[in-house]
Amino acid sequence: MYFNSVKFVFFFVAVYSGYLLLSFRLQNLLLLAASYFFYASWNWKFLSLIIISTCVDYAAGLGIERMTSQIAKRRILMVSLIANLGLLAVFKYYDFFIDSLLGLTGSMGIELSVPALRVILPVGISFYTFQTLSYTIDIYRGELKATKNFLDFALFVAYFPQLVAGPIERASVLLPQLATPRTIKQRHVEVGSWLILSGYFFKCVLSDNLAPFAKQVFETPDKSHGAEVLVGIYAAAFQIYGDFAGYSRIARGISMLMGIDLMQNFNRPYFAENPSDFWRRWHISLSTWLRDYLYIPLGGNRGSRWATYRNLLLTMLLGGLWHGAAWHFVAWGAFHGIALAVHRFLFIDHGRHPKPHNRQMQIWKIVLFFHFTCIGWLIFFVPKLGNLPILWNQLVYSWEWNGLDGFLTIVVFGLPVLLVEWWAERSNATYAVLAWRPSLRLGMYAITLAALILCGSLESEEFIYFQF
Amino acid sequence: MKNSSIFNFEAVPLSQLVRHVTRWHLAVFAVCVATVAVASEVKSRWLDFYEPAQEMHYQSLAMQAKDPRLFFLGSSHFMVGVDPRMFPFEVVNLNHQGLDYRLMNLILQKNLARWPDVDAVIIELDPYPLFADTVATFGTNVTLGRLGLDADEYTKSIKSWCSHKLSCLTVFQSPSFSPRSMLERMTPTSVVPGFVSSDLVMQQTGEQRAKFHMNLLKNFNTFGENHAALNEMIHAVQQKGIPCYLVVTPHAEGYWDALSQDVRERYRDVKQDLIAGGKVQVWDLDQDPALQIQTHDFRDGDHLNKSGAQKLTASIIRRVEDSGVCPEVRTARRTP
Repeated sequence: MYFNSVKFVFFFVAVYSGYLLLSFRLQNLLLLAASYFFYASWNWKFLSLIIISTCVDYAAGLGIERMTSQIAKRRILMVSLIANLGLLAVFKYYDFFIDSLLGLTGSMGIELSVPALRVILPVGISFYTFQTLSYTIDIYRGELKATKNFLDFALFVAYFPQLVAGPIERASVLLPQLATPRTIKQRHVEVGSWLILSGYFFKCVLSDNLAPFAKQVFETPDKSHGAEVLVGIYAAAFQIYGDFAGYSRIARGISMLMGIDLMQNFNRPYFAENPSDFWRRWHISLSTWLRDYLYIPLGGNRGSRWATYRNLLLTMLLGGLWHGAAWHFVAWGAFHGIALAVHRFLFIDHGRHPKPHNRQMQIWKIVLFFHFTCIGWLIFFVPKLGNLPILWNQLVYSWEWNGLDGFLTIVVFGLPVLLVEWWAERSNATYAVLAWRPSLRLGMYAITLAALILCGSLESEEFIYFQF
Repeated sequence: MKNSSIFNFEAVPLSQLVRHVTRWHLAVFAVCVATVAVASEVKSRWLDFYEPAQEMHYQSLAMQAKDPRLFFLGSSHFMVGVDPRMFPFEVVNLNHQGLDYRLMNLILQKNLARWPDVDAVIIELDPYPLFADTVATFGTNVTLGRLGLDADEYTKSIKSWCSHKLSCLTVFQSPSFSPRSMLERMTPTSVVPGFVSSDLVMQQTGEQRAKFHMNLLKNFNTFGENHAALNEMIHAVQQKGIPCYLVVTPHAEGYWDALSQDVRERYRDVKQDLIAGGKVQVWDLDQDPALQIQTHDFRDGDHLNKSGAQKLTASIIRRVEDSGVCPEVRTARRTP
């Protein structure tokens, strides 16, 4: 049941109606039942994984808090880590590593016989695993108190708006909201409704209309030429942004209607001027998770310069692998890890600080870094790294002035989004549109809604991030 | 109910709201309702279900075939899979998305009389038409539209069906004012009677298509009637002394596994009965290695794209040639 499906619309209307009529405790019970139903609609068998993860981490949280000795706390934490990462390893990475191992040994002439599992990837496993891990780690660090209420904790793990594609929430932020009665404020309804409307625009209009152009280039690289390849790469950049930011907006919007705030996951990422800025704007819930639970424990920037570069690279390599069990995701992670390290080397460690604010220079930096990001998307989207040279050949040596429809689609749908975001960037407002004067807002609502009806369609494309 | 959030909603009751806030709420509501109404109306009037409209155009032209040598009859699998231009003589390919065998039978009965000199009739064999209930989903207008009416009448019948049944659901349909759709609509394309090709690749996997089909085939009420209609078609063709062949078109990996076991088994039994009975030849091109169909030959999990259609049609031509039905194929094969 995807957010962009008719089924979900009916599901949410039913859940929300019940939610408004029930008392706080029953609301949580309803949300938990709805969340399990939502997840079971993909594959009810994998619901057991969420329940296992919930039980393990609930018990681990209480255990860590009760233990007085640091060794005992660490042991319990290890149990939680092994259980959660073990599930992730088995269901997401086992076949990948086995296939890679067999490929490697095969190329050396050694024939190994290791059985592969060939299980389908449980939807959203990477998201809820990271979310539950942060809970036990925070308790271990003494930054969070374990919850005694199993229902609240189960809801924290399975909360349906963000269950399958984030934002990856922190227990310290989400649990208190689930554990106390919510008041739905007028602001919640106003912001939530706008987030939902704009989220559907991002997904159903921007992303889904661009998806065919990106798909065509990446799935049949030898059949696309010249400008078509270039347009396909730009289309992919806007497609993934529309897809994931759209999902996050809808998730935040429906949650906000219920009086629950989820963290902002995107902050105008294509206005980033450098890699470090980009990761403060793109998939913020993952980048902050990686920072807090991987980069800093690895030593962060507390050691030598080279240790910092290593930590950046390792963090982004694992960040890449988090996206999927394939080498092109690892390469994408390495690409960004190296970019972060080089940026740090040039501009922080060697003191080449940027010149004082200059609008023209800022625009150039944004444009340049957007193209750098596009190279990253090229690596991210190719089904196998071997296709990269083919695409390069088609782009450079097989140039044709084609791809007009893709170019127009980007201009028609992508440019307005960028203009609105540029406005927001300049005014530094989170919800720039909501700060406009009423007549402009009404116009914006009407245009967005009309575009959704006239140019969008439900149930046409899946969300990309569901597969991670 | 006391603790219900609906009662601790921060907003005060409507009657106590400051006037400008009330006005604002009403304005937002009015704008949204007006936008939805206008946009839906614009969409249904101007786009009038682009794909079916396009399809009926192709079909109405196909109906005008004068003296076809081969008569293809099927659902969307034939529509995207059998390219009449590749044959060295006139063939007619009558099809429509979602047709079941009962409707195919009506189409056959009507049109076989119009083209009594065809050398062979080639009918699609697929689980979908065996289990579908097209009368319930498409209505009889479409059926009548298919039975030899002229193009304009056919267009009218589709339009009336669309506005009657689905105007409220225009928001869920795929036709759109997006640049690609607009350019496609503005670009003059040569219309091939009875055939629609596409360059798209694997828009949906085999598994997704099968799940979509399983959602449509909720019960098997029509299985018996469709099965009987299929046999009736074969009998009707053979009774006229015309050879009849059944063709299974290719399906992408994962399609068959994602169908329910019941559907798979019933379909398999029907196919085996037909083969064992020996009354009709079944050309199973679904898993035919000679066809060399690959993932990039599929538009989606059960429909071929342009390259896939070329392979399938070429394979059918070879089989027609081998069967000796149309000796001209041997000497005059050509490609578009």
